[in-house]
Amino acid sequence: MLEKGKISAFQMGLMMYPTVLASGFLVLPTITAQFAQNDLWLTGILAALTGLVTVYTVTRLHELYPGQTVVQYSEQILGKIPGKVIGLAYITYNLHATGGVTRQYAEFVTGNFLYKTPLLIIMGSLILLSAIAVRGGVETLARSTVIFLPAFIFPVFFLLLLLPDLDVKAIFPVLNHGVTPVIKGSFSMMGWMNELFLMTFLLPSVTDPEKGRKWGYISMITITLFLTYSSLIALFLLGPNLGSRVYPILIAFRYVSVGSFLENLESLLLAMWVIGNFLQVGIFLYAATLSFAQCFQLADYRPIVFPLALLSLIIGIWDVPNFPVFGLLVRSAVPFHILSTYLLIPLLLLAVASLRKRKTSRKEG
Amino acid sequence: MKTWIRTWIKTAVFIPLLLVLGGCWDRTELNDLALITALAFDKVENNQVRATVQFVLPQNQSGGGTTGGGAMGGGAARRTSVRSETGFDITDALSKLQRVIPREMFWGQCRIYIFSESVARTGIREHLDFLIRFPETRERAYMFVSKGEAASALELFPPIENSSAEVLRKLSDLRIGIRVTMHQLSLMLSGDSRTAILPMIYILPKTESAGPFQTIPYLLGSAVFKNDKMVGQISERVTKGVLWLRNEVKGYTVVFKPEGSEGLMSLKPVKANVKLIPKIEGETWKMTVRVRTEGDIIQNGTIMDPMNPQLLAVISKGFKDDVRKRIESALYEVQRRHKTDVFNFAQTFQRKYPKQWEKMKDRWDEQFSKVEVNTEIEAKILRPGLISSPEGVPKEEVKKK
Repeated sequence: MLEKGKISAFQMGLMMYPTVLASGFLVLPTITAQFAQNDLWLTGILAALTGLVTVYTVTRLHELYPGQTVVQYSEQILGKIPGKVIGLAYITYNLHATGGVTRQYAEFVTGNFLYKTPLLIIMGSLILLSAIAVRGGVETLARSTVIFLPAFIFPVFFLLLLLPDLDVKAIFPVLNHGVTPVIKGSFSMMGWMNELFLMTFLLPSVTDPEKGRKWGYISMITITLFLTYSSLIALFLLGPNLGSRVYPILIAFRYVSVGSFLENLESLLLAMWVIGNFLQVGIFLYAATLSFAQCFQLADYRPIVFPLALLSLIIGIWDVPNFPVFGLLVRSAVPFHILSTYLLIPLLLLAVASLRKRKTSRKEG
Repeated sequence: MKTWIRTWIKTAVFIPLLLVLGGCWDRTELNDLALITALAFDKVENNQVRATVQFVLPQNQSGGGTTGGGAMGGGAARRTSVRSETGFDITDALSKLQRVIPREMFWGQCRIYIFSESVARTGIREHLDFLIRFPETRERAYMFVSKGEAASALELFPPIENSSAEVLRKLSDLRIGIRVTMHQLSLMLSGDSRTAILPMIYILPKTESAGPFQTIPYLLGSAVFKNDKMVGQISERVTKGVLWLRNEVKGYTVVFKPEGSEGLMSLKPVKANVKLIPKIEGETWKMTVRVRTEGDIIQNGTIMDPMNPQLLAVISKGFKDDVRKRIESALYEVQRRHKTDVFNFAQTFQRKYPKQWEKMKDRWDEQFSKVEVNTEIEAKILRPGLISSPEGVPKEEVKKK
């Protein structure tokens, strides 16, 4: 057992919240609006369904192979060589995702707040911080989530101060162009929801794994509600403009003005975004480190945290030349990346695993 | 020994960090910034644009209000200054402007953007693109169109506020006329009707005793945009009617003549709630304007006693007819003459009849002038003010019935 730390299922549920939302809630309204326009709030339903499947798959697999992560049980399910291939896939994908998330964070910060600061500094400082947390082990990550999460959730309620400026009727006409645009728009949100699969790296450290599924569902539902809430606020404020705004929630925060003294709340958003991304990058980096250590059967994962962090930093910088390409990636490629690594492979594993179990039980019986 | 080295390494790393983390190494303090309060767009030859910025002169801010005014040689204290520069587009002009302003321009406080009429007539799309794309500008800033040169509105030294930009902001906040933020303008232009309306500003003729440039810009009437170009101008009276149709009536004054009386009756504040109810019957598109309005009496020039329910009904009817007249004249002017859908009928139709709207979308301009509008007005007078029967009229002469 590589990870000696112990967390509770409740902490795991909390950790999943920023993992999905930190990068999701700032850009998802735009992406879904580009496809579904004013029906974007409906995409949450489909995304929640995939979230349900993801949480079920990951907890079911953990029930079948308790105390193991996807990298370990894939070897048992599919055999040594295919299992290692899947392990490699998880290493690369988790590293890639870490880099991508950090890049997204840095793009937002340089584009809107620190115009002159180089990308490398912003990305490097966040990854360094997350790497230190990961090196501290899963307990450190869990405790920092518990401490910082209120600061990540609370500012969202400030958006309610926009109420006088919101046009609720922007939601009409419902389903004007049929269901197809909603389904198209759901893909990116479904992708984000599949990130719940990262629970697989936490479940072995959970002291009460039987509650894992319950907290997974609770986390999934809160995430959906928060995403729908922020999408609706963005839609009511921006109406037809929503699809063309890069960071609609930023505009929403900037637009808050109560009695002309409570204004310019975007610094609040930045604080929240830094905290959320720290937690998110922490989880992703932890997943990458753990998959690497388990795939190559290392005795300890701590020595490789910093090298892997550096690697993901480089990936984050080299992967994407500019923002439009990043946008294209997030819109068209990322949902399918995530869908295949975090949903399809686990489903395949579960299918094979249940077939095997049935076979062995028949042999025994 | 080993722990001793570790401690030293840690200290060696963290002490320089402390120096950097204070943020002092690249601080920007207030005296490094030029606080821009307003930006004006003017058109010059060769299709170029002239940007004029108004910025705060910090040393005159404190004590300026009461004592400073007298100290500045009788005139208003010059608390702001203007600079202008010409460029191919607004960004070009602004970058040239930075050459003549020693401090870095700071846009976070800029709440006023003024297009001159000629800029507005050639189109504001490219300027609006800059204003919305540039991260430092504020979506809550107010937008205006000026009659004549836009820069001249910034050159004034208003006697009462710190800057003419502040004057425009305060006047807009009174909600007497139309008030449009950058965010609303972008919504209007990208909406279904692709029209917009912006308040017009004029320069108030200065009083005789005032010094040169000692006056204010003020709002009068409004400019109507089709796509991104100004296509016409509507008067103050029509603008007020437009306010009713756009449901923006807040704390308003209504003066009218009740039926069968000599004098006038005034109500203030008048509040209103306006609903647009679209309907398509075959080929005819109809719009019902349902108005619920209420107000308090503030002046009674008639000899009617508003405490009498029967007379109050007569007065209310006068109120109602007046509101109808206001709305109808605005409709006539905008719908028949300008043919520009500044009331956003397009959106209400699109939301209720998306299918028919899809077919009509490209012909909306002509269809808009054909929309049949009905008004359903419910007008109530709630309170008589501090006195009940007309003031200065002997009891016997007050009309009781």
